[in-house]
Amino acid sequence: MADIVAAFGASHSPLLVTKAKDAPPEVQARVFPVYERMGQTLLDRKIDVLVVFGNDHIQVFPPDQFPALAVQAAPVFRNVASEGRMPDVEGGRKGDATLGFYLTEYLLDAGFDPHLCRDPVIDHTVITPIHRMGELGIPLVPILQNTVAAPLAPPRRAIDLGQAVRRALEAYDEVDRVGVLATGAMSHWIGTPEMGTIDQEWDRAVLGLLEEGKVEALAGWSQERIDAGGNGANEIRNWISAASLAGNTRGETRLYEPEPVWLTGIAVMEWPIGPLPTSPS
Amino acid sequence: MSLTALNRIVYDLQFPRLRERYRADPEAYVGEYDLTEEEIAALKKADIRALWLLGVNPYLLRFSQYWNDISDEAFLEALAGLSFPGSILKENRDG
Repeated sequence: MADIVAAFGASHSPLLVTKAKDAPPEVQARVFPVYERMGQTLLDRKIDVLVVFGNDHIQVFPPDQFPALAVQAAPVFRNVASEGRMPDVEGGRKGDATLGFYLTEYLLDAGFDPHLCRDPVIDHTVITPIHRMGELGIPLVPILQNTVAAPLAPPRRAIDLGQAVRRALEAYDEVDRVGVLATGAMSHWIGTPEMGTIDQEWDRAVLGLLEEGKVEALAGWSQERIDAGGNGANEIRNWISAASLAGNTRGETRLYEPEPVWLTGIAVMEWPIGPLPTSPS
Repeated sequence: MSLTALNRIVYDLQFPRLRERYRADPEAYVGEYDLTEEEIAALKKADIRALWLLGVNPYLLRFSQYWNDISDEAFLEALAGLSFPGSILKENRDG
């Protein structure tokens, strides 16, 4: 019976690492300490493993074989070769392959069809927040939802996934304390003509719904409404999963900093852990 | 129509090992993919606008910007007047 002791969401723009110093100093001073405090919180709460709700950017998986949902299970992760600009760590970053396999098995039993990914490579969906938090050394289990290559699952599915992962973790005996981190979003346009645009109104609407514990309303957004925040906006699926896993509690926004140099609004949110809604019979 | 192959080669060329093979002998390398002359020309010229219009996934297009040493300014200039049409496209269905 593992306890969920932390649930966060955080933007994962790789430019937070590769162009860290290009943003105005006052922006850096507002943003980086929030990531560092999030890392310290995870260490203080003595988590054994960090489950990451993220998304591949067509670097781990090829575009013609893109899984709707994947769980990565490996003892050590390395940076995918296409992200040579991103820092790796000596010996790689630790993973929890046993938990990754277990989660895949549990999700299959719960009616999901995850791809079990044994390829031990990660892209900036994991690297950026982990690096900005100070690496930590905590074993990782990335859960990757497709947010980049159509067709995409309806965001409603992200609620079900978050709740199923919560139940899976609470039924798992091999670790005691688990942290959860959703990565990506807010509004951003990657590789499109609008790249560099930040829609603060869209971002505030998403954060506002999560602050009010209205994840159902957010998951009810149409694809058109999501697309209004750019192709990167599809990553709110990761946040929906973490919010749902936490019991759809009122999210606490720790940071919102729209920064054009980093191409997105940089947001960090923490959800207190509350009970799940009663499971369907 | 070979958008699947075009996306695949743009994906593959993200990886330094395959990029070396491509740069050593572009003709031979592109021959391993089912591409049209138009697609091959766009790829060889790193013509961002043409690749966009051919339907390359925006994320792959973004990464191709890096390995072709194209600045953000030049990238956006190449796409001037166009717009993100949404995540679900007809091209996605037809491949």
